[in-house]
Amino acid sequence: MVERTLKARINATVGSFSLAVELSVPNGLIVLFGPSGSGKSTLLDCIAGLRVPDSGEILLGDQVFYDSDRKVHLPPQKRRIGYVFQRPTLFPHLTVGDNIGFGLQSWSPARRKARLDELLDLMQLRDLADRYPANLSGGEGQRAAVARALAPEPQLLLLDEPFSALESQLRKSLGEKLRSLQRKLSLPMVLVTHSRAAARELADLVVYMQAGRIQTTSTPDQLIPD
Amino acid sequence: MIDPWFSLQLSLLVASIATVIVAVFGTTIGYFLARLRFPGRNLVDAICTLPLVLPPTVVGFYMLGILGKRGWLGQYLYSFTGWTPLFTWQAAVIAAVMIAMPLMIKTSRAAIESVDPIYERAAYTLGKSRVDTLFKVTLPLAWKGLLAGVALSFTRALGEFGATLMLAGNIPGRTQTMPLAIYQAAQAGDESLALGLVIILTAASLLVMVLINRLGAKW
Repeated sequence: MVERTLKARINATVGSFSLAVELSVPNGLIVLFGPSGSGKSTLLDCIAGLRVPDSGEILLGDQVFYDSDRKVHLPPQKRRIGYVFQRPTLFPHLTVGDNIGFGLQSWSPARRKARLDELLDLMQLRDLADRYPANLSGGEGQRAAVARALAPEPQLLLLDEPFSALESQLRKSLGEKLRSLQRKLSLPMVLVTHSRAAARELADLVVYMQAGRIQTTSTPDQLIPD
Repeated sequence: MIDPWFSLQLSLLVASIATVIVAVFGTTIGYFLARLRFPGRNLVDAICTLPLVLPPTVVGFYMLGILGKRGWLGQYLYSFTGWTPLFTWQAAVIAAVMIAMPLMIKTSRAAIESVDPIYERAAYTLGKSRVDTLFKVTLPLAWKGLLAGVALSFTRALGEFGATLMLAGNIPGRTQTMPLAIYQAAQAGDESLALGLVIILTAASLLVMVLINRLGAKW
């Protein structure tokens, strides 16, 4: 597995809010931590290509996703970045299986089926494949959302408050799942949370944001307890 | 002479063709109005609504000015092909399209706006193009509203009178649709024929609404 470092220098304004960050994250699980309104979601949107920054650059390894000087903006479709959103975004008109297979429609049927099977097992969704999202619990929905984002083999996974709708037991088990996936797939992950406990348990590196700026970058054990 | 069965068939044919055209273009315009921010968006919206608030005869009059033999576009059509749509059944289709279009644009815009854009964003991160996302995510999620728009458009087209009269005339056996036949029967004092036609038109409209509602409920 190639070592993929995400480098981002982003200036963006959303209304009266301004985001100005510079960060370099090595392969691993990075937690973006901070109060709501600190610009964490905006930062993820810029990395995913869903929002165009005012200026700066975004690179993953040697791939240029965005560079304002060279006028490069790769659309989200070409970035191969998985994104688990804060709100539920499983397509309500598709079953869990079809949701997970959604990003694989250009794959050959055999390969698609194999990949789908793999993910259903990986995320313990085997019995839920034919259910519609409306009939899933919060934890099941979140596992399906992670499976869907992982399906097209992304080179980076972004997770925006994946635990916000979950009670603490489920939060813990999904957190452990993500942690082990990160190791197993050697897939860099950027996880946004405002939960100090989640940050401490999961992160290789904690980036603390406030008011659109990065305040500190530290290892989780340096993070002060609540 | 009034030919009730011809009028019924013509009305159904005209309304069906008009509805297909309206569904395709109305949904496209509704999508642009719902999802794109462009200068003059409100003006486009207002212009698209105009046929809904103007008397159909006024819309018909404008269309005469555009499509007539000496009309803005019609003169070229006539000099190149020797054909003019005026007083043909195709003119009845054009009239129905103009009158029903605002209903489709309005309902499809509202239906598409009710789809949370986050689903489209999710589709983009899964590698889907805008067009793919439109067909696989946005339209299926807006399906019920679109279906309602189609139902409204069809029944409105079926009942179109004013613009049709201006553009296609009232030629029995050629351009006389149901509403025109009803008008003529009533004018001629043939009340039983008028009543029969009125009941058939009402039943046809009701049937379409019920069928489409059932289709929507199945989803």
